[in-house]
Amino acid sequence: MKKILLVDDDKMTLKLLKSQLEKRNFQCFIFPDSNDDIVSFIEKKQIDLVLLDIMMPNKSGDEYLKEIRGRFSRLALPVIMSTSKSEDEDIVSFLKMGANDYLVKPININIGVERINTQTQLKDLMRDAQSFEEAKTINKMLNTLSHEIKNPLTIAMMQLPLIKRNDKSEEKVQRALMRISNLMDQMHSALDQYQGIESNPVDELYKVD
Amino acid sequence: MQVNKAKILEHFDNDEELLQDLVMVFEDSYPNDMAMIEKSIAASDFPNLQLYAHSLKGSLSHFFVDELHLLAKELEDDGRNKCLDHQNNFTVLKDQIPKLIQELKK
Repeated sequence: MKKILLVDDDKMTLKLLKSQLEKRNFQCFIFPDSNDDIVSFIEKKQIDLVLLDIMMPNKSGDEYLKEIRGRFSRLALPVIMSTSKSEDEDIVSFLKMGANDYLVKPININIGVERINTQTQLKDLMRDAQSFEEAKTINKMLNTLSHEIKNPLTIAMMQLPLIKRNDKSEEKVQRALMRISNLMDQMHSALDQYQGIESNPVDELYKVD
Repeated sequence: MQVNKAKILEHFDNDEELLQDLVMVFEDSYPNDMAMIEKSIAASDFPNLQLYAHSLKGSLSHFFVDELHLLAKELEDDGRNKCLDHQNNFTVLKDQIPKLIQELKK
């Protein structure tokens, strides 16, 4: 069930949207107070999409939009602005500021649902694409790592019969042990390279502009 | 004043119960908008006139009554343009909105 955050001061719009969206299997949250931190609220409730009014008494839609875009990119969290017809000129500037789409008030619920679905589906597609890219990157990394470990390990293993065969020659045994030690260092360095890697280049896609 | 109940119901997904709930919400909330508009006109407080007329206009838009919507819009425009050219709209709205509510409750 997709989670929608409604940010609007108009009680009628809120009641109408909540009732109609819940009927269509969305889970709705009403942003409680302009003093609250909208970014924390979104993170805590794991919101999928924000439906944001432009003109509100305590804090305007553009202020909320700036805060949201300071933390989430368009791909990570879609925002649909709701506007009245007289705010037509604002629409372009809101789209430039990072809104994904807009709806004209009074919101036609069927159009609203379609636009919400489009945006949440795009978000899901991007997430799937990211997972796919991540899996590809991890696979490539494991292949390289396996190669970097396997080679020195094979050579180290080949030293063991040499030690056995030359157990009378202290110098030869010492040389073989030194080689094993060097090869173990190589394996250690190879593992070190991959330690601490938590992200991959696909994260760039989700970076805030 | 023309009230197109069929169009309003269509907007509310033909849910008469939801419409009646929203009429109650409107009945509850519009007096505050009206009071703030009256106060803003008296004090020539244009930002608040724009804000509360906008809020009233938004609420009225759910009921598709163009005449009343226009009156609220003109008040909002007055606020934006820092003038009181349409201050008489307030009196008309004060008279007409209770009638609209009565119609919607039928």
